[in-house]
Amino acid sequence: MTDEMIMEAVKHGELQQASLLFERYNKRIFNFLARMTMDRDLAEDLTQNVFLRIIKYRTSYREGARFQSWIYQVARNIFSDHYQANKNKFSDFVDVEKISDYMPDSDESELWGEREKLLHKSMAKLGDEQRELLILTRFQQMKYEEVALIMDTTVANIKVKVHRAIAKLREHYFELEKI
Amino acid sequence: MEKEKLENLLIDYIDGKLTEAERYTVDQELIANEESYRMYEQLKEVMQAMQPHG
Repeated sequence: MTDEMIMEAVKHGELQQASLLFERYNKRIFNFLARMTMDRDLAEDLTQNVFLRIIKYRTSYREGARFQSWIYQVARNIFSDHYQANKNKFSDFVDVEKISDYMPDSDESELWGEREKLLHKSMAKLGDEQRELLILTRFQQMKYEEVALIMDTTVANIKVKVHRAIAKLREHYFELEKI
Repeated sequence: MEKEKLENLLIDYIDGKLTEAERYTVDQELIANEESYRMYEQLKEVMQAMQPHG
């Protein structure tokens, strides 16, 4: 059964089917939000909110729409809403030492070495959009076409932005390596 | 070669998305220019680090 078929069923009142979507997307959405927020506990809360919002606004799911794009759009909105609501708690200054508090999901944790720490510190120095693009296209290996759908833009635009984000990440990574 | 153009080519080179002719151009650049080779090595390192099991 495809994601879209399940979501259609949920939309028409078969709420128990949502657990299948949760099983399929929970980990991916959590990893996306964990890398965006760099806070595991917060990411767990936000992931839960994503699924609650999907249930709450199930009737707004458009027939034929790709479910993966839709759920990532919801996740982006949840992140954005949280960021806006807590704007005064955020600062342009990133305390890179605190970034190491973030631990990736268990499958990845064995790889949490010095290189991974350096990578996360470098990621933290990127703007939200650049970080998001790298999370989606590199860590989650999403195709540019899919990311273009999620971000409602063109593939060419995504490619340009991803390349700029990689170039910027390289700069931060090797600056931090010198410290 | 202009920096941004080179970065774009190198990223596509590492991703394996260049045509044979473009790959040849990059190969020549990497052989001839030490600074370009350093950029290539650094881009490759950060791109590999971002792979899920990289």
